[in-house]
Amino acid sequence: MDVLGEISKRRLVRHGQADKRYMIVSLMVVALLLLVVSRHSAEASVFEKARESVTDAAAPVLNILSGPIKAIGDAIGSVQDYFGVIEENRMLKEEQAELLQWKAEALRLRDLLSKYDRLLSLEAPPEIAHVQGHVVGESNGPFLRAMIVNVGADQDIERGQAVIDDYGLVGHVVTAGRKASRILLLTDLNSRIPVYIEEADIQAILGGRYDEAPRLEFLDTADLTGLAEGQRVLTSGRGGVLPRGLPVGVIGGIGEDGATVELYSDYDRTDVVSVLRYDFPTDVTPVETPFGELNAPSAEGAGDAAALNAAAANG
Amino acid sequence: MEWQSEDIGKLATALTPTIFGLLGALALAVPFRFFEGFAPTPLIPLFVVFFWSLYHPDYLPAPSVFLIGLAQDFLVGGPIGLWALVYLGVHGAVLTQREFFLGRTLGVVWTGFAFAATFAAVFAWIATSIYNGKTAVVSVLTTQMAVTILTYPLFARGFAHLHRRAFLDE
Repeated sequence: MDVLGEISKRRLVRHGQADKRYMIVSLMVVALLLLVVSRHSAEASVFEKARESVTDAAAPVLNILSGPIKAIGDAIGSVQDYFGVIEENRMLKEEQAELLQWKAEALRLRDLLSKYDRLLSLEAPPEIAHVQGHVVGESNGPFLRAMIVNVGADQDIERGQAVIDDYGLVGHVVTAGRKASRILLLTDLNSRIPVYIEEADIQAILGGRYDEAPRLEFLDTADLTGLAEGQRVLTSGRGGVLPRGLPVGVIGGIGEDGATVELYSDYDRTDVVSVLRYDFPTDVTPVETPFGELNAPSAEGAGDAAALNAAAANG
Repeated sequence: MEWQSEDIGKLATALTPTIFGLLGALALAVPFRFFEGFAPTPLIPLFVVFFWSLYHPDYLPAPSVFLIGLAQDFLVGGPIGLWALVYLGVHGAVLTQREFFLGRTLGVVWTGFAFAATFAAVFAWIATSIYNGKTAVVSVLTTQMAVTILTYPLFARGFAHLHRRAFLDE
């Protein structure tokens, strides 16, 4: 290594340098133009098509590579698990006892809800179809948080659809190739998701900050007195993109510059995800009920029920 | 003209740096999750661009550098053209400094690489900040560049071995 390049140095000739420089500068101008054009029309079909094609082309290779990598990761993980198995067992038993109580409560509420549904004669909410996929790639660049999953337009995946894992919302689809899709994670700087805080009933926008916990941005008029750490944060369904009621995380900290959210999803472990295929109800017609006129199925109401369906399907 | 095995060998040699660069870009999209995600994947395309721009630029012409950068932009996501621009900048800068670096010890070249990586990082940070209209995150970029600079000798030794066998024996 020490002497590498000595021969080349002796042979170093200067002919053709101007041509090379001309080529480099022209290509840099092309790259700069691409940068400027994509800045103003990132969703232009030509860029979108190119992204879809590259994602599709890379997917089979990533699919093959991600298998052994996951196996190695799992092997290391299981050795680590072995040391904490007794403590984990105790914690799981406690958690199971608690969950059984919640299950009883959930069944009681489901029963009650179905009675109310019948009473209000609500139309059945649109079904959410779950399309399961494996994470085969992720963006390891310094400015982006995204994943690539091995399902795409062939499975009717479209841009904007929500992606969840066993714990909660992971992100949403930003590029849908034929066989693979790119998911923008909640921690990406460009991720902005409408959410609400369950107990405090406050609407907010969850903005990603890359390496820190995402932050909630509230409306200037929002009353934040009820806000407390530990409250659940769910998707609000506003903006008509993501279904309402998908679990996102809990309030982790409240400071002067707003509140941060601890996400339920752990992106270092995310492996199998579900893309939610969901048609947002757009047709709103008034319905007569014993309590007066009700707009049904409203986007929010339907979203609630849809989210319950999602939860049921998950459970 | 019939293809001789020698021709195929030559073609393979000529394509090697470009293929390495493209594989490096692909590696940035593989979910390695080193140390539970704490250590980012090094920017392998930067090794490739720096190494071959220095030791054998004929095998890594500017269009190849452009292609590698573009592949990274599409695979990893983010502004299209950003990494193409960064790598072309590194390629151009290394070409002007070849005379100084050729035949130097690994330590000197490594220092040169550290400078190149730092300039690349600063440029990428400024460009991303302008592109997004808000300051980009520094911490992850810093960690990724630190990992990239620290692992350079590892890749450089591998590339040098290959370089001696395949490129200098002609």
